Amino acid sequence: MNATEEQHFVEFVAARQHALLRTAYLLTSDHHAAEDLVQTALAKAYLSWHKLREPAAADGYVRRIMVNENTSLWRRAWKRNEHATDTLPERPTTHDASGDVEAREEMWALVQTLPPKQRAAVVLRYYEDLSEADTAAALGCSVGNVKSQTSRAIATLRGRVSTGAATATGGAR
Amino acid sequence: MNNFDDDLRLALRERASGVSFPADLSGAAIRRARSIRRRRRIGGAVAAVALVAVGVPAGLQVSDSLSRGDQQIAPVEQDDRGAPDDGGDGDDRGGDIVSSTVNVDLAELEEGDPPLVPHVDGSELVVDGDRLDLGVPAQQLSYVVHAGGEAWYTVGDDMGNLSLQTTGADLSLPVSQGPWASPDGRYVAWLAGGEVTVLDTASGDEATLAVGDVAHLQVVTFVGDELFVVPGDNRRTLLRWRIGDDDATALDGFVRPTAVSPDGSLVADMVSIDDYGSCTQVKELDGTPVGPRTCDFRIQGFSADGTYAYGSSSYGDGYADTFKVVLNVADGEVLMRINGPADDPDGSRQVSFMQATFETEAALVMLLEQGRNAALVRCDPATGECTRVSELAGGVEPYAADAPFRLTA
Repeated sequence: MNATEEQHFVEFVAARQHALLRTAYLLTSDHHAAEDLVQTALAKAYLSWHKLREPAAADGYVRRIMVNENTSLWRRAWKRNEHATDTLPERPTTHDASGDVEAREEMWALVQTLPPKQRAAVVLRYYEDLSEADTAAALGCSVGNVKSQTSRAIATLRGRVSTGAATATGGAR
Repeated sequence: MNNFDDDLRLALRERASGVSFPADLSGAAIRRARSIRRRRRIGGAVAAVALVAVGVPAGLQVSDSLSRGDQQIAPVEQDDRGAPDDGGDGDDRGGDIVSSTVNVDLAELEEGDPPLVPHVDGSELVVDGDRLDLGVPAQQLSYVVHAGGEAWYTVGDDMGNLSLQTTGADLSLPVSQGPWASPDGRYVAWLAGGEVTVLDTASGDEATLAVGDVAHLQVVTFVGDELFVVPGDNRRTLLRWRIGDDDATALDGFVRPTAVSPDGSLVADMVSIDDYGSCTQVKELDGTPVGPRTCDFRIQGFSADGTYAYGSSSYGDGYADTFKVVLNVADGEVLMRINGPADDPDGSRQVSFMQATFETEAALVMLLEQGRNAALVRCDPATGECTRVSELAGGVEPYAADAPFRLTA
């Protein structure tokens, strides 16, 4: 990489690191893991930076590395028996008058229980507002696969929200 | 759009908005990138080229009657679609390799240049284009290597007994296993009577190392004037032997060594194994871990300087491996995964990955079987492509002819 390319890389990082960190956090639920994930993705992008055909493609390229890296890390952890659990994370205790905050906290808690690829599909589609095609590119899969991953994720979330609501209702009686 | 979608969207945005930011990440990312690149660089010429002997099935001789097709390779999925192209400039090797997955169907592979690694074609050992006639039917050959300018090989009889022979002398020595050759072609070794014997072809001197009453060695790697071996009856012991010394040193810090890098710097250690898989950690000789532990793949060999490794399923398949991967040792990244045909619902076109060795840099040369056919295939992560580098051989039902195929280093 020559000096000009490195300068472009530094400028790209400065401009995009916050957005990438936010997405990484939604993928990992952990600030340190998110920072590590972004750093790894940027490092890998740096190694191929001089061959980027379009500077505008850098954002998608780094995002794609990030998503793949996160899925790979999760898979390794799973193989080590660090299995994700169906037990939902502890519910927040924050309340507001309307209950909206609590509902969003609950939604976030449920998102964290999704398998990594479903979670990535949800984050890319609902947070990044990517199209199905762009999400497919980021996930390295077909558009059909994005649809099925997203559909399964939403069905799971809906089901769990319903279950949670029913439980809450039942408990109040 | 509905309330559920809105709630989900808001939940994610609210969470993301609470993320705190560190200082500029570019410096740390560049440092990490340079660290990765250092590990990926290949130093010097590739030792594996010269002296790895590869055997191929007898069926390779009869390939002319079979389709050689000139089709492009079967489906190739680049999982970095839209990413930088994979053309190389030779300096930034890490960046040249774009992670890829290739589905191989032997009959559809495009033909490539012959392998640079020595290999057996029928009853001939091919070294740098020269052919040494072994005078033995390929079906009877077991191991074949090239050392001291001659072919050294073991021949099996109907009872499974092996005898060591060479093109350089009238020799027929009963052995348990071998031969193996050093990368520089100076040494040739074999196992017999619980001893590893190493012959220095330059001086004619022999040295022996007692390894106990074992029929097999699990790992045999020459590094300069040293030999690393794992005796078969105790796969937890990695011995390091300076050839000619009375004793070898047992290296601590390993659970079940599966491979030693040709430069002697790294060991693949299977640190856990159960019915469902295993986990492998690459370590330095003192047991210090290098890179991440992988529980996805069992590492089976290293490139010349230990930058790359190849492996297969962590649990091991029955007849043979059903895929191979090339990994970057430093960070565990899969640079290339080679599978059988993607569209094979009944498994009738399954590919068996019989043997493999690094040829140059990260390129892998493998013996593959598919149904009754077999061929040598080169897969190169730098290009993301596989080519068939031998004739397509026809074998005997239901498999390709039994392959007298061994790799040594």
